[in-house]
Amino acid sequence: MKGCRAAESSRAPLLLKPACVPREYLLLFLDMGDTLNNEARIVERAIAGDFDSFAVLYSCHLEAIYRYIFFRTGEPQDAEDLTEQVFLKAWEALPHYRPVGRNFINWLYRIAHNHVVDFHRRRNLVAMETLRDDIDKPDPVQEDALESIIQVEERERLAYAIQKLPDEHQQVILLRFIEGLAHADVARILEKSEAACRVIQHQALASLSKQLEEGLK
Amino acid sequence: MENEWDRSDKMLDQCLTAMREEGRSVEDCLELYPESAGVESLLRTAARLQSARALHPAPGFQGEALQRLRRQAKSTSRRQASFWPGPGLERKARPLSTRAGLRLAPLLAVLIVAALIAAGIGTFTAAAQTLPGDWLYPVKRAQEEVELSLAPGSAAQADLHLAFASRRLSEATALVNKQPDAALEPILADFDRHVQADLGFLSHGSPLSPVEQVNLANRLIQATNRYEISLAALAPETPAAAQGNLASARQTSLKARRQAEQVIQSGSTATPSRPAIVPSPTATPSQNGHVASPITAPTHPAFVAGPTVTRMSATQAPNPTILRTPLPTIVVPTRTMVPPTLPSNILPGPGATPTKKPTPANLPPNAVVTQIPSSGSGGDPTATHPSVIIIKPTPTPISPQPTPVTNNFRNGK
Repeated sequence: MKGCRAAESSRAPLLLKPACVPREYLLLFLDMGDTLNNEARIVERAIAGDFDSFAVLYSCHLEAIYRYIFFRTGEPQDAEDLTEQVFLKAWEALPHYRPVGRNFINWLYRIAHNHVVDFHRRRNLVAMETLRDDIDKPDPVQEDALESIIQVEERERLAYAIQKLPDEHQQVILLRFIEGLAHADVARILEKSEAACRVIQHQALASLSKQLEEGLK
Repeated sequence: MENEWDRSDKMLDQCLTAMREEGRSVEDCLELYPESAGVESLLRTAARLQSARALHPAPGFQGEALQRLRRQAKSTSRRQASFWPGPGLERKARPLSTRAGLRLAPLLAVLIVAALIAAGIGTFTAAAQTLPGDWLYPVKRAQEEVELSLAPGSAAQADLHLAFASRRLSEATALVNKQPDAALEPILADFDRHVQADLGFLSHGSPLSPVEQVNLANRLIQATNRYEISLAALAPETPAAAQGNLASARQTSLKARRQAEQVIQSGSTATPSRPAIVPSPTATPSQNGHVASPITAPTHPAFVAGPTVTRMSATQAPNPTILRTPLPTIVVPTRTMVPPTLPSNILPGPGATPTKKPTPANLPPNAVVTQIPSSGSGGDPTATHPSVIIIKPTPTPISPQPTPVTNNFRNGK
């Protein structure tokens, strides 16, 4: 299933493409018309307690949240577990969500960030050492494809280097370059000014470059 | 410096946009924007990051996780939404979020428990003042039963029966004053039950130790004094229907008194805490201006227990000699007050007071010694006393003045 790309730009209103809606839910939303492409309406229905609407949001934002968490944990299994927890938390906390002026995905990123912080606090960064020990192990599912192995190793190297960065640098790197958010969206999620986010991005990229170069040596 | 940083940032943005939206490579960007060479390392890192974004969870995860979420969402209640439920949608309950609920749960639990305790205390306090016929009176009776069942030992149970019997008589008196034709039968029947229960503690097979039995007997004698007075005062006020119960109650009280006296006279191997002053069983307020104030039995364990302590009955004829025991200490209580109308046959006369100072030489071999607590000592140290009661023929009650006499046997004097 293709990820929902509607969150890439903060300038355009967030639209949910039917491609990110599970087929079984398309039938449920036949009567919604444009509502299906209006995230705010779907969020309102989810807030009202409609789980099918929440499932649409889940389907559209799952991969983004998964990627965000993966690069901050380094373990696919941990990323999946945390992703599931994030959406459960989102469902429980939806009644407190105020959609005015904010995109739903930004709210999910904030929940994901809190879960990742809790995760590392609990694990005391053990995951990083595990990642380093396992970094040469290819993914057994994709070991028959050299290209996949390279991709997996590259992601793990990046994840390891990203986790060495300060928390804010991690967020900016992931939101800007993995998720492709604009500076304005990143600024809203981090509750900082755009200028501050630009500075953080510059510093984070420089630090990450240094980390990756050191990793090659 | 600022302009240089701005230019660098702008160049980075342009290159990243070209890479993302036009699919350009880093080399393309460096060629397109030669001035971006200063940020080449940053561009390469950004490119690596962008190429790593094609990351997906394991196949099947999305569907399985969604199923689990649906199950958990059904089991996890949410607070009711405050706005727009949506057309055709069932409005579902929106309870407190899990975290908020967990935060508030201990506080709510404490508040609920405190409220229940306060309500319970308030109820029991209010119930204690109730009379038969009040809606809280059953609570009072239930509370008594609970107290009896939770009493720590048979002696405590016996004391509770005494207290509850007194309470029934107080209720009967208050009820008659409040409502002359009140039904006293249940109250008097319950009084009877409690006194009978105490009688059981003084009979054969009692779970009480001999010392405890004697102590109970003393308290029962004191209590029956009050019972007699109260029952006699109730007699003219009691409705005819309850006269039978009243007669039964008086009979039970008298029986309890006699049983208690027998226990005290039976020569138990233990000494009671203090023999009771025994007024006439038939004493009534109209006959006597007053009755002897009860003497509370000392409860000091050293006083109650003791392998060589023997008992002396209040009704026993006073022995002019000090009774000897192996214990080297003799403490003779002398405090009391005696109404002038008390029958002399159960009280030692003033002449019974021995004049001899107790010494090992003048102690008979079968001496009985009564101990009392050391508190209140300071009386006449030269006084000797064969009995535990000194009758002072004065019509005015004398406040208790213990005059323990400690002999000097302990010190070999």
